[in-house]
This record gives sequence, C-alpha cells and structure tokens, in this order.
Amino acid sequence: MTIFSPRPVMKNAVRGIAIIAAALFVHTQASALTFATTSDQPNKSGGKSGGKSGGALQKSEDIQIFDVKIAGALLNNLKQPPSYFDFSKIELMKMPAAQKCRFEFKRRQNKSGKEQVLANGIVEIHDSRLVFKDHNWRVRGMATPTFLKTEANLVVDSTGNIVGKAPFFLLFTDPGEIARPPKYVALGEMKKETGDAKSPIGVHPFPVDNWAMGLLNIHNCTDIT
Amino acid sequence: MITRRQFLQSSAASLALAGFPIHGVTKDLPTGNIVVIILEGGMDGLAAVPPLGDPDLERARKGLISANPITLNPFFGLHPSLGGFARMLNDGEASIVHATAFPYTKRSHFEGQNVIQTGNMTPYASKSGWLGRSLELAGLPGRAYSMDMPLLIRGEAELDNYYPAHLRGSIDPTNMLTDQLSQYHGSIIGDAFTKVGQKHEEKAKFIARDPVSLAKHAGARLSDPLGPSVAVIKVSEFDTHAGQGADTGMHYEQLAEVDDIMIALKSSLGAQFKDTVILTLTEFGRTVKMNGSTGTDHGYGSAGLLAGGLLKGGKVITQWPGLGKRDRFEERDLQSTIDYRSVCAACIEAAFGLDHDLIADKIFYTPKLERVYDHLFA
Repeated sequence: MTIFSPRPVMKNAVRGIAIIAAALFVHTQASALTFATTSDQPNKSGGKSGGKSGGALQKSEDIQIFDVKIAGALLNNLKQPPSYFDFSKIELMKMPAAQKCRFEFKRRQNKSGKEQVLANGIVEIHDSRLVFKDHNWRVRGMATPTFLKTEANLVVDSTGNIVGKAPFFLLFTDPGEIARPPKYVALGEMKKETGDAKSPIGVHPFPVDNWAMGLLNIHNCTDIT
Repeated sequence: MITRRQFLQSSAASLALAGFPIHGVTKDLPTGNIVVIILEGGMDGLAAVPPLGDPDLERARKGLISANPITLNPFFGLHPSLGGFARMLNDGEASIVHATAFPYTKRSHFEGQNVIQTGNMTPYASKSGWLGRSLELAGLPGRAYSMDMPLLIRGEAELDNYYPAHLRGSIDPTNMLTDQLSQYHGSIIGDAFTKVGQKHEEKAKFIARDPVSLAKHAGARLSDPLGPSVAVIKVSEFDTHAGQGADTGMHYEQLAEVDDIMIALKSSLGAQFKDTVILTLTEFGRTVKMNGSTGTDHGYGSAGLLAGGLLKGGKVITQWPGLGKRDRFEERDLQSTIDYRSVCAACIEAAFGLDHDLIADKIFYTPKLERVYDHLFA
C-alpha cells in the first residue's frame, strides 16, 4: 500500500525557497558591499598555484578589498597601548625653552623607607613632554633604555608635577633568574615631595606595589640652547 | 604558586632573530624588517575575523562567534580581543587577508608546520625555510639569535646560531684555550674555535619568556641599525578542539595575546615600525561547524593578520568563497582562495626589495605564484 505523504515534497519546496532567498540575500549583500570593495584583474594563475595540493584553491575570480572604517564610539573603547594616557584634562606647563635634566628612578620600601636607585641618566623636556635620552637601568634582567625611550608617555603639568604613564622595572634580576617585563606605572596621582610648582625639578612619587613605591627624581636642569 | 596560564606563557613561546648584517660581507642592505608570528595549532580565522555579513555564519557557528565583535565594515567583524590590532587597521597600519592558506590540505600539524616554514608544498622535502632563503637572496646571511634554529629562517647555506646562556653557578671558562686551539689548527677548525671565543665574550642578555616580552625584545633589536632584519615569534595553543569559546575561553585568551604582541612590537619598534611588516602564519584554519566538544577541528582556509608601516593598510583582502556547505572545502572547511605564499612573497618584496619572479622561483619554487603586492603595499 502506498500512502501519499506531502511532507517530503513540502520540505523540498521550503528548502528550495530558502536557497533562492539566501542566494538573493547574498547577492544583495554583495551588491550592497560594492561601495567598499574594489576588484582587479582576474587571478593570473587562475587561483590555482602549483604544487602538490594546488588544486584545492578554487573560486578565485577577483580579489575584493573591504575597506575598514570603525565607528567613532567603538574606536574610543578599543584597547590602548600600556603606556597610553588621556591628557585631555591636563594643563601643561608653559616652558619657554627646552631643558636638559638628570633623573633617577628609585624604589622606596614601605616598611624600612630604604631607597634604591633603579635607573639614572638624562631626560630632556620639550614642550612639556619628557624625552628620555642616555640612561642606564641597574636592575639587569630585560631592562634596557629602549623601554623609556620608546614607551614613556610623561608630561609636566602646570603645577610642576609629572603626569602620565611609563614602563618601570621594580625588581632586580639575578643571573639565572627569569627576567620579568616592566610594570606600567601611572604618575600624577601623588603630588611631588620636593620642589616648587614652577619647574619639574623635584621628587615625584608614584604607586607601584603594595611593598614599595616608585620615585622619579628630576634635578640639575639647564636650558637647551 | 604558578598558574597554568603563567606556565604556558613562560614556556609556550619562543623568539628567534636573524639577518644580522656582517660587516664587509653585506652591502646595500635592505632597510625593511619582517616579523613572523607563528600561531601553532591552526588559528580559527572565522572566529578571529568573522564574516558577519555571510548568512551561513550564524547557522554554522552559533556559540563560536563573539556577541560583541568589532565591526570593521558591513561584511567583516573582528574578535573583540583584537582591539589594538583593530586600531591599527583603522589607522591604515594593518590589513587582513581572509580565506587564505598555504595550499596544504592534509590537516596534519606536523606536515602543515613544516610546509608553512619551508614554503615547499611537499612536507619534509626541504631543509631550509622560505625566510632563510629570502635572507640569503637579500644579502643578509648573518646569524640567528636563538636557542634552536627555527626551520623558517634556515638557509641553504647553514646559518650560525647563538643563544647567550648565563646560568647561576656555571663555569666561566677562559678564552685562552680557545685562542690557542684556533692558532694551532688549520683554517676551518681554527675558525670554529675563534667563533667559540667570540661567542663567549659577548655579554649575556636576559629576556623574559612570555610572548609579549619577547615581542618587545624583538622590536628593540630590530630597531637597532646593526641589529637583525627578521624576527620569528612562536605562540602555541591554537588547537582548539574543545571549549574554544567566543567571548571567554581559550581562543579569546590566545587572540588577546596576539593583540598584545602586535601592540608590543609597534611600541618597541619605534620609528622602525614604518619599515616593518608583521605577519601571522598558521598551518591551517579550522572547520566551519562547531564540533561536539564546543570546539573546532583541523580545517583549511584561515585569516592572515598583517601590520606595519610598510603596508598600505586598513582593509580586508579576500576572494570570499562563502560558508554554505557546497562552498566549503570538502564540505567542511573554509575554502582558501588566496595562496598565502603570495602574501609572504609580497612581504619579502616589500621588506627586502627582491623581485617577485625571483621570490616565486627561488624561494617558493613556484614560478607562476600570483603576485598580490599591489593589494597590500601599493
């Protein structure tokens, strides 16, 4: 006995409609995207490269370029480099001339108050921005002058405080120990301990860890002529 | 106590630097740098760069696509953990090549990793890597700074490698012995002893072993005019058969690491970023459909992430094949429509100034290899 069941027919019909609809949708999508794409000459090698498995490359008629444009609101929330700092609310110090100063990065242990120099050298200040020049880290490990030269993002604000973020090596590394990457410390939360509001000269403290704090000492500044 | 994540970070990454100029041997040196980030395990290009405009994406991969992708354009999105890379894309400093792979389709990690490093489509047929051969052709035969010598940077002629070890309690040998041995022996053996002595005199360097620190070290070395021209960073753990995740999980963390590497390279390269191209390399993509363990299996086509000032960036370059079952390679994988060797060839052309036909013939052994330079760099 044959029983007629409409289900397979209907199922096929529905599937067919879905495929047509999807195809139209894809086509519409592709057409809608043409504003952002450019095509060039068909693939010279027909999209198939030589070699043992070259036949796997197919469907390569044109290369399409989809330009990237990220919406402003989304862009503002994207990940920033570790030394990024928003200076929009910081009023910079007006400095008539660029200055060349000496600096030390130190750590001060909370319990004992003991201070140790971690790095020292030359820093120049151009238009209120700190530019680290020749200097030396004493902590060994992976600390090299490259970090401060390429990643420090510090300025002098209108009250003579140093504000921004910078890579900072808190720990000494003995031979044979695994070196640790720097911490990215924020300066400006704590006011400077010494020095006046007219210049960057002074000791600028900043938080680093629960057992020690960091200090940036800037001194011996002279105008760069 | 060390966590699993910390352990993997310290053990699962490596860095090799190569192409150090040799004074008196190299002249008219190319100024460009190439950084290759090898993503071992097979990166899921559809999760990293989801084609949000493809109607089959949601159907095939529900549960693997982030709920909050970064919208790049009406068709493509980017995984939210690649925020730093997205910023580079928006600034024209990065590009993506999608639906791409080395034309290797057997889905074996071992063979695939061999193929993407040798550039030879027959696994284990070559003892040198495509980057090593390109260094030789570019006149940069200098040695590699690496504990092992990655296949990718091995040349036809043997490159010398060196990794400075300075371990607590190690014996400090004197150079007198090597000096005497080098004077006593003839040229070849004598040269070898001279080399041993020179290596010992070099100052030991300490490098953290997590991928981001390695990237920073690489960038700093590449930015040195007398430093290397090539860096290879290996990151593993992309073989996401189970618990791949979308907005959390293993793949999320791995992509975030890639993003941090890109950011670290850009910052540590400084002004040299403009003369650099960074590209990812992975042995294959992953299946379009999620498997029964909320992961994906070995596939074919993937996406290549490129960054650097040499690029004319800010675009997704593809010949989109579609994700429908019939569009897929063997009805399961994202099809590869752009040969990734062409992308590598374009990077060599941009960084080292070599002619495409020479690269195609001598480096990839495929004289008719398609040239995609104009799409990426022109």
